[in-house]
Amino acid sequence: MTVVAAVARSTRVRPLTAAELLADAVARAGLWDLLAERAHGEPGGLAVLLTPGMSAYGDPATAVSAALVEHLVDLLHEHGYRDVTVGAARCGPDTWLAGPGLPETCRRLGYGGRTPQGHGYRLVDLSEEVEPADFPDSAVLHGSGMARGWLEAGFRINIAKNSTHPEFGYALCLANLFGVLPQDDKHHHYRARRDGAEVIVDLLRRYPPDFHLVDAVVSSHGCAGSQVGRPLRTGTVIAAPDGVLADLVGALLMGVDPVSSPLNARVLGDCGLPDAYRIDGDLTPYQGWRNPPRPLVEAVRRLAPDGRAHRLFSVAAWHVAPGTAEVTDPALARLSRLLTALIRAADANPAAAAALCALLGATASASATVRAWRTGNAKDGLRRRDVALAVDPDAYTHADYDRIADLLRPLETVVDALPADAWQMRWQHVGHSILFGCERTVNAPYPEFVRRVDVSRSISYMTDYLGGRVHVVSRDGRGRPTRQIERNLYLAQPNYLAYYGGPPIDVCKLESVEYGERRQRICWRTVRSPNGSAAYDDGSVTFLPADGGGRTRIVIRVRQRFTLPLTWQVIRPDTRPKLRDPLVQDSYQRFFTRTLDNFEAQYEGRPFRIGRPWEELDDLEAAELPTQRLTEAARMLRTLAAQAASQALTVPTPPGRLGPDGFWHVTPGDLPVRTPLLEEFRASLRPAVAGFWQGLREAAARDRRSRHTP
Amino acid sequence: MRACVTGASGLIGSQVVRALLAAGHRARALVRRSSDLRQLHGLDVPLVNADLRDPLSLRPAFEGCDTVFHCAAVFAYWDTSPEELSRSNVEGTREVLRVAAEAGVRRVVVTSSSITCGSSGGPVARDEAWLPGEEYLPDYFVTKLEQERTAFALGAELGLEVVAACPTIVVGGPDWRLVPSNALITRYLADPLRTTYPGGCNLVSVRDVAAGHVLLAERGLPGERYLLGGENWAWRTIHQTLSELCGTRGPWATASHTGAYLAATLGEIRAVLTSRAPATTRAEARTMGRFYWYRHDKAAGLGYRPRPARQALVEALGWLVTSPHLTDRVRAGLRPHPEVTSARELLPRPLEGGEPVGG
Repeated sequence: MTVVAAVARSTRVRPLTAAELLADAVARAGLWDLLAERAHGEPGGLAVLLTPGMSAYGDPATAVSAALVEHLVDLLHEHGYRDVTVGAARCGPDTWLAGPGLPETCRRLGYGGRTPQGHGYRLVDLSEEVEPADFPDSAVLHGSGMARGWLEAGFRINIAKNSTHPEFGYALCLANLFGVLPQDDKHHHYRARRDGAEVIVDLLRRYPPDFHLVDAVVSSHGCAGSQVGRPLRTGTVIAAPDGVLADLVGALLMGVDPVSSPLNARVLGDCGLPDAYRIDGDLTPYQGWRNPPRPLVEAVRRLAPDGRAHRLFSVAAWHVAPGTAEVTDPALARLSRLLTALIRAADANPAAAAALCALLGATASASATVRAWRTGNAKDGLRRRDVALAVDPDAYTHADYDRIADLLRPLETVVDALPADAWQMRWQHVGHSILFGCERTVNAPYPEFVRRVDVSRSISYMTDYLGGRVHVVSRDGRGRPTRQIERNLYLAQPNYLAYYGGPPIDVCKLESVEYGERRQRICWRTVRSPNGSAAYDDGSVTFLPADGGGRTRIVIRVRQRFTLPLTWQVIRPDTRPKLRDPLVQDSYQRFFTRTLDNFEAQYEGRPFRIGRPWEELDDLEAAELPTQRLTEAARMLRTLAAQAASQALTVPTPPGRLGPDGFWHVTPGDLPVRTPLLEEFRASLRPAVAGFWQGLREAAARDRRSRHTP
Repeated sequence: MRACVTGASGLIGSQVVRALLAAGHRARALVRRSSDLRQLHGLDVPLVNADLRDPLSLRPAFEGCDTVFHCAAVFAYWDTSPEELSRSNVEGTREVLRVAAEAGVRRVVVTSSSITCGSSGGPVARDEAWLPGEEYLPDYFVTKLEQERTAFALGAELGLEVVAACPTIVVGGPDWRLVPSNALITRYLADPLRTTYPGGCNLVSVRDVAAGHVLLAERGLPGERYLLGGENWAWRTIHQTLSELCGTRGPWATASHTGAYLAATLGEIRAVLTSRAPATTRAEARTMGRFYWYRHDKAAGLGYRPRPARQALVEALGWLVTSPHLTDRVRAGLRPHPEVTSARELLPRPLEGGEPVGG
């Protein structure tokens, strides 16, 4: 069946009201047919859930018009669908706001529970009544819940505001789906802990909306239209049963490339467009529309979503509607006022736009440098992100796994024929990829080794492994995985590439595992790299008995080709073997030396993993923004300053004096005195300082003596 | 031999227990209730909880033993006062000897130190006849001297056979607490400048020291002290060997006395501010440039055969380069030689419920 994306537009020659635009768009996009099909002849019994985009405390100009939503409620009632619910979402800075509560604020936005025509609807908070959801184990949302209203709805209609976005470029139906997710702190749970696009893909696959609408009657454009309202009358409503298609149409009307949004590009790549679709309507871009400047979008995208700078920006860039709520943290409130004012000014003033871009660009550079430093020097502090499997397990048959060993055999033959160095490592460039092999015989009896080191988890023993997800496809009679799909992430390799913008290596692999009496082996083949960081990362790990089983031989063979950061692509190391070879050799030798160490560590039960998985404590810590620390520090400084001023930097000393008998002698007339605090401090330091000078003089004397000694 | 080892959770004590068990002797490990027992992992040895500060707790541990190895001591240059050092190393030894005599123990092997023979200003190897001269002695050195004197005097008074084992710079693992002698290795590897310094020392493997202890218990003459050392090397040679074995370059710099003293001062200030032990202390910096070189002919006469210094370093590195004492950043820069990796002795982790998976 052909899916229709309908565009209803009001023009000078054919002016239409919002209600007329809505009725026209939904009718042409086939809403009533879809509803009828779902209702099975009983429209009154079908629970319809509407999820209009709104930040209840935000700028009304950034939210879907409540009047338009109520028009839709009226239309639904007129068609017999009387069980209608409007789901309100918390988003933006809501966690840091104090206000009258969500239902009350929604009423202020115009959601009264009854339309002007007298049709009733319920208003529910999608952050409440969360129930377990049935996301598969390959999903990033596996184990997460959803609001009961969403799970039990018979038909879900997602309504997005037509607006620009400082990071995605535009934010329409797909971006609006973050609002239907249950956690209050959307940024932490659905952008920082998890990749936002993966979250939306999982939602679309398991609990998708049935219909999508874009409210472009009055749009919000400019630098950050979804957060700081800048209304523009565009007189349009877009309707489609498919969210990706609706967004594609919306992007074309804004005059932007639909895949310029990383969110939409990823969802489009994973879910695709309907097999057959048609766009019904005028796609002429909106008059007077302004998209966010490219440098601004680039700067915001350089802020890592799981970093504090991104979080602070995403919270502080929301304009909180005056009178609806107050930002609880004074420093955050100031930052928010400053940032939203700058965003408003940037829409009108090129100098302000340049200042905003420069500010965010500098922040992004600083943040990227800190992240790169941590990649090399503070790996334990890095957090492992929750990720989806990112490939469809049903897309592969058992034969695909069973073929891997045969595919690798010629490569392994070549690797084994290469000369080994003292470390038993061998490598060679083949085209743009690298063949590498290494082995180590460890002092662990083979039967004991294979009991403690699970060969099927070999990928997770690799150096700088930063988490991932495994989906077991088949097991042997003893329950051991024999075929599996694994997505794994490693830090950028070598680590210093992180300074050049090198992303983590992110690859999805098909794996086949053998458990022989005299050999255990896993071989893998890369089928996808979600972030494009690798063209191939194929290989095998083999455990073999050595010295009659008294020791164990570990053999690793790989063929890899990773994508270099742009700077290194410009240098083209492939054309400079004298530069390339030592760097490649060094990085491979370090990587696999440590990988082999990790196998030993796993055998001994020593910790070797880097990064930290997300824990409940992290959720609590995430609630604290850097601005709150700033506020606390300012308060503490003020308190200390006040105390210091009151005591004038002195400490009290009791009257009298301590005698040689150990008693304190006080005579009439003795008064307590105040010793200056600095004097007290100096007195306590005096012996240490004297000792230091004596030691230093002696050291200098020894140096002089050793200079005179031939 | 029925032996009891004090300080059995320490670097030398745990290896003495291993050496005793390997030689077929019956051993008992004396540890404090709060001791970290990882050093004794995998050993089938009875543990006795006792504390040197509580003589009553020592008696049951020594009952039925003919030999006591007194390895317990505080070996630290930081965060311990001279009084605390003296209380543990001198008073503790006194209590051990008294209780051992009461319990009918025949012989006590006291773990002393080679520094009781002093150090030289030039590359001269000393033997047991030497004593410290006018050189600077850190508090730890002073207490070891005092410990040895006390042990011999009290042994003669109580009728105990006291033999002093004087190990040199002891390296090796496992060493979960990181004793200052192993810290000399980790400090060099963690130093981005790979700094060496003048002077030298005598390196010995902890296993050889443990074997030497057992040998002294069996054949040592009462009232005598025996140096248990290995090879005499200059610090530059040691550091060059460490670099070679760890696949790095260096040493690149040579510390002056003033530089080392200032660096140690900064390290101590940082340690105070961060509540962590400093990488090096001023007390250690002041011993720099001396030659702690020794001959072990006397012990060799009893059959003591230490391994070469390179092998001692290989075995020590085998444990240290994968230990928590080296940060991930430092480890990332190392590429241990196959000599080191093949010397690693792996201890299998206990299997959990549900395992085995891969077997």
